[in-house]
Amino acid sequence: MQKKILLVDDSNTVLLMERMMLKDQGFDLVTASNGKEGVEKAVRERPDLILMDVVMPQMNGFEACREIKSRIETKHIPVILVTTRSEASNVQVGFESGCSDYVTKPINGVELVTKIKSLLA
Amino acid sequence: MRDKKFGPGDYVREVTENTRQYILDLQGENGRLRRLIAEAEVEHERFVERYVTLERENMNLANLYVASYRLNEVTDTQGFLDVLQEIIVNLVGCEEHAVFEATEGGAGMKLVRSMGIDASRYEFIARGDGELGATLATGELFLRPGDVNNTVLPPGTLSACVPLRLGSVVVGVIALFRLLPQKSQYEAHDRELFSLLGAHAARAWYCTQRLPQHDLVHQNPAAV
Repeated sequence: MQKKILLVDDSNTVLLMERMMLKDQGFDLVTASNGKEGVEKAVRERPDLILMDVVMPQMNGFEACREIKSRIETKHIPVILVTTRSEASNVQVGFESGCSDYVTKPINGVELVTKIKSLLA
Repeated sequence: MRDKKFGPGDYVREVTENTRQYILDLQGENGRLRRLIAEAEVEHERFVERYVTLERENMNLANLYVASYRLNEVTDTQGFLDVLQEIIVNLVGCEEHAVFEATEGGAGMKLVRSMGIDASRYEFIARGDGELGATLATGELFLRPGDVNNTVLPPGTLSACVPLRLGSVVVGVIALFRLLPQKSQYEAHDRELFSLLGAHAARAWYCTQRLPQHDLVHQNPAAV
């Protein structure tokens, strides 16, 4: 059965980029354009993994991740945060919000696919 | 003629000799297999290198496709500038940048969009003034060599100037300052992206400025 990945980003450019990177890997892809919608779709779609941008309107990635991890129906879903910030302090905040891993922009497709497959194994 | 007797000593000698030969044969086979394994490992390394190279090229092509698709998708100027910023931040890895539009007559260029810089310093750049003005005048890409991220360069340092050209006419310039810390310097695929931006972004910008907005409403009432 195809694994489902939820892509959450307010940038259509990034969503298209992520689709290009993942479309040939056999995943079923769904998208959301902000943190609030991301949480709603996580509950509705029950993806196997979430790829979440950090800086977004309405609800940022850290807040959305915390929300997802606080709900019984979604707390088991691994979250990879996508961020432009590689500083240790930001990484720490990310892990404290409950993410399983993170990637920095510009996204390295090989690194991203490797991390996704590792978390879905 | 006396029969040659085959005593216990002869038997032991024969077994010993056979065993020694067997060991020699196994050692020879062992050596051959080790050589095969070494050759297989070298071949494997070559495949891995080739795979990584192909993946990198694939990603580069994907970047170019995404940039081209998004630039040609927009129908209004503000949308175009939004997409251009998304490309600069997410595909290049730069959050300190500015976009300039050449003025009528080409005497200089005015700032139309910026991020992460002191915009008041760049409101107008005269033709030929500094690296930015030189890019406007010559239409040539400027790329600072070496490490150009924000852990190395002081704030406000230009790392690249990308001319946006319609044929031989420079209609604008993208100024890139310091890259994000996780990216040290520009690479070959960045040059290719800049080359694409130079042509496609210029054309997209030109089209969005000339597409009457009322035509969009006529085609798509929901666009209002």
